[in-house]
Order: sequence, then C-alpha cells, then structure tokens
Amino acid sequence: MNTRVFAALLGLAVTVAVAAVTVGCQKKQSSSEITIAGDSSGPDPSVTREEVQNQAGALAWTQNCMRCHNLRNPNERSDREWDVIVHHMRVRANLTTEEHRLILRFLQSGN
Amino acid sequence: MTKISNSTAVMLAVLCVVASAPIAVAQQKSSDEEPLTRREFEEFLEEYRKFQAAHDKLRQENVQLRAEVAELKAGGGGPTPVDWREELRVLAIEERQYILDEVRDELRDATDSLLPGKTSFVLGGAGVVTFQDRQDVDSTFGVGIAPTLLWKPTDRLLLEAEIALGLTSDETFIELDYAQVSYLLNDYMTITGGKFLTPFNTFWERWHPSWINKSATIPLMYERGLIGPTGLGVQVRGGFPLGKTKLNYAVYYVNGPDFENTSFGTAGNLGFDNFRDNNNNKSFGARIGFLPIPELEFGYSFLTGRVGDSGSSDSGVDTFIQGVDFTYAREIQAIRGRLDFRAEAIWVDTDRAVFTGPFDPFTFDNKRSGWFVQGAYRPTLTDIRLGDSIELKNTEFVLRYEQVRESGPGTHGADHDRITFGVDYWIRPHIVWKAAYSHDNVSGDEDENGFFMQLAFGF
Repeated sequence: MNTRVFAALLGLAVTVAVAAVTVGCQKKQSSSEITIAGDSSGPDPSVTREEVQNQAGALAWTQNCMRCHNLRNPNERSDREWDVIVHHMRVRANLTTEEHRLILRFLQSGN
Repeated sequence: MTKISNSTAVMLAVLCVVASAPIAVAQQKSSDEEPLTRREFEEFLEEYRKFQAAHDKLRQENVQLRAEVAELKAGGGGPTPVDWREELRVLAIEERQYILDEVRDELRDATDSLLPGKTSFVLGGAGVVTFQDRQDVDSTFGVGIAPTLLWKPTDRLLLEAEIALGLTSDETFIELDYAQVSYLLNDYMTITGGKFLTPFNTFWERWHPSWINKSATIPLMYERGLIGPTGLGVQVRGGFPLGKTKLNYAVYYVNGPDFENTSFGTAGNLGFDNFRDNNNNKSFGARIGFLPIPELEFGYSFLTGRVGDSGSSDSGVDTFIQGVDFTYAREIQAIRGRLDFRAEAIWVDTDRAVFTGPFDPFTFDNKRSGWFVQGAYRPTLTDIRLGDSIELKNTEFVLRYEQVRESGPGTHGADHDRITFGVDYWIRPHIVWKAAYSHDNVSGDEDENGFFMQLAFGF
C-alpha cells in the first residue's frame, strides 16, 4: 500500500474512531429531548404526547429531506408505501434509526 | 453446653418468625415508598397539569351555564331559540365529520390489511423531456424515464433497482442504473451489496435525478467523467449523532475503474463501467460527512485502486481520486426565501503509463481536476403573483460556475470553464420546468454556448 493511500486510510480511521468514542460517551439522543417552544412556565399541558411526536417528526423531515429535495405531500402515498420509501431514504441519506422512526411516523400521520 | 428443650426451641422459632414479619413488612413498605425518579415525577406533573387545565375549563363552563340559566329564568333575554338551533346544527356537522373521519380511517386500515402478503413493493422514479440547442450542433429534443423499484420483504431488508430508458441518435437504450440489496445491521450501520450509486461527494448519490437537480445540465466534471456514477461491490454506511452535530459515513469495496490506453483522444481516461473486473485488485473508497448544523454538510471522499489490465504493461498503474463537497440549504427570513448553495471538487491522480496504438508511443503526467459552485434562490416567503396561475414563490434562480483541468494529448488536455444560468418553475414539489443558458470556454477551441429546456418529474 503506498504512502498516500495509507495516509488517507489513517486519517479516515482516526476520524471515525474519535467520532465513535465521542458518540459512545454521549447520552443517546431521543425524541423526548427535542424541545418544542413553549412559555416559561413549562410545556403546554394541553399538548399531547402524539402532538409532540408529530412536531419532532416534522422537524426531522424538514432538516433531513429538504437538504436535497422539495418536500412531497404526505397524502401522496399510503402508510405501507411510506414505510418502504422512508427505508430507502434512510439508506440513501444515512439517517439514524431515530430520524427514520420520527419521519415515518410524521408522514404516516399526515396522509 | 446447656441443652435446649424442644418446647423452648419451638418457642424461639416462633419468636423469630414473629420478629421477622415487621422487618419484612418494613422492607416491602420501603420498596413501595422508594423515591420517584425525576422522569416519573415529571410525567406525573404533566398529567396533573392536564387534569388541572381540564378541571379549570369545566369550572368556567359551569359558571357560564349557571349564568345563562339564571338569565333565562329571569326572562332577561338569554340566547334566542334561533341561536340554539344554529349551534346545534354546527355541532351536528362537526359530529358527522368526526364520524366520517373515523370511518375513513377504519376503511383504510381494513383495505391495507386485505393486501396480499406482508411484503411491500413501491414503484417510483423520474422522467424528463428535454430540448437542447448547442452551438455548432443541431438542436434536438430528447426523452428519458428511469423507474425505481423498491421491495421490502422484511423490516431490515430492502431491495432496490433503477432502470434507465432513453433514446440515442437512432435507437433506444436501456441501462441498469443500479441494483442493490441493503440490510440494516443496527441503528447506525447498513450493509449494501450490488451495483450502487458511488458515495463519492454527493451529486450522483443524492441529487442527480432530473427532478432534484436544479439545473438543466449536470456539473461539467461529472459530464467529463472524472468519476463515474456507480460502483459494483459492497459497502457499509450509516450516520450517527455526535452531540448536537451529526456524522455520516460510507466505506466501499468495488471492482473499480479501468483505464483507456489505446485511443489517442481519450488516453489515460478512467472508465467506470467496469462490470467485470479487469484485474485482481479491487478498489477501495470512502466518504465521511460532517453536519455541524442540520442545514450544513461538509464531506471528504476518496477512491483508490489499480486500473491497468492484469498481465499488461499497465498492470501496475494505480489511481487515487479525492473529492470534497459542501452543502448549505436553508430558508432565510431576511431574503424572503430559500437559499441552496453547493460546491464540489475532484482531483484524479493516475500513475504514468506509456500509451501505444496507431500513433507514436507517448506518456504524460496523468492528472485531472474539476470543481463547481452552484447557488439557487427561491423566494418561498413572497406572495407575489404574475397573472392568475404563476406564483413567484414557485420560481427558482440557479447559477453555476465550474472548471475542469485535464492533462493529456489534444483536446483531451484542454482547460474547460463553464457558466450556466437557469430559471426553474416548480409546478409541483416534484414536477419542474427548467430553462438554462450556458457559456463554455475551452482552451485552444472556440467558445460554445448552449440553451437547454427540461420538463422533469419524479413519481
């Protein structure tokens, strides 16, 4: 293996290793940690858990999908079709399981 | 040792049992009275607040109702009979709507459950109708369609393929764009095998489809083949959070490119349609992307491997290709719209080789490079209309500047600059009409201009 290949591989391996160690030391991200804006007295007691999940899903949808393409209308596809399509997008866009779950739930609730 | 009588032993045993009972009860009580965790307390607090809000609402309604009843009894002019009938009518409509929604949801669930089997199949894809008029070339229309097949037999397994159908000058062509199987290993890792879009920079993998690419043309460095769209092999990929940021990665092992060494005009070019490996040495590549904020991504890519044919004089020729990419896409209130900014660069460094053919043998320092910057602006936050059916917020303006530098004989070793300006109109989020004008400056050759139109759609 020549020097330039070795340097590239070493740089990539170090980057991934540092990232993996950092991730391992971080608290696992969960949808319950996503803050939805509310007033200073705390979360709105009339907002249900389902609404919080939908807001988190909408956020994940705009943050990930809009980086590449316009957002499609959730009404275009059935629940089963969205299950397949979001799986495909998870692979293509390197989504995490959490992002996959949030976006799928949001699309299925919106159709 | 004093002997203990049987009766004493029995009494002692009974005393032990009786004495231990309160201890057991105390332990049970203490486990019931273990302090709540913070999560449990916050859940309880949330439920209590909901209950309190509902209670307050009911109390207010009760007060209001009492006042209305008192007013009616006093004959003080409460709600008129007409008002009550109107309110009842509105309530009836709302109830009917609610029932209809429930029936619709139940029908949909019932229909979905009647579909045969548990596997899922989706047909999607993209299509395009084109017109181009390049300087010194006859203008022409064109058409192409690329259906994408997705099949998900299990929760973790996905099979997908895309076929491209189009027209050349005198025949129809059909190509297998990609065909791959993916398996979700865990939350952050997927393994894929087959012919897949090469995870080098982001253009081919993420935004080459005609309804996603904002320009009517593809970036020059990809048009000139500095790197091909697909690889045939295996890859591992995924993404994971890094605090408030995110990292994504793809590592792959493929047949790799081969090497043109007998044609003068294309000597030293890499060929990426290497469906049967031309040597026993596979190519290795990777991309890593970093997102400090969701709207912004930086990436670095590389691909390296042997490109010469086994047993030939070029059997030791290697290539090392590097790339960087940058994406920023965000809706910005200050400019009343959405900004989409992209930039990519590629450097190709292939070992020297001696080229022989129906020409004098020659050699050269085989390096190629290219880059582009592209900006697009869409005034999504305006309400301006141009006539009855054209809304300014569906219009998008795109500008791209790009360069390719190549070494080699003749025009193969030319410097090529291009600037392209385009306007898109989004009929739907996945249907777009595009018009673009490009100006090409090729060293040692005449400048070229081109006009392009497309109607592109995703389905």
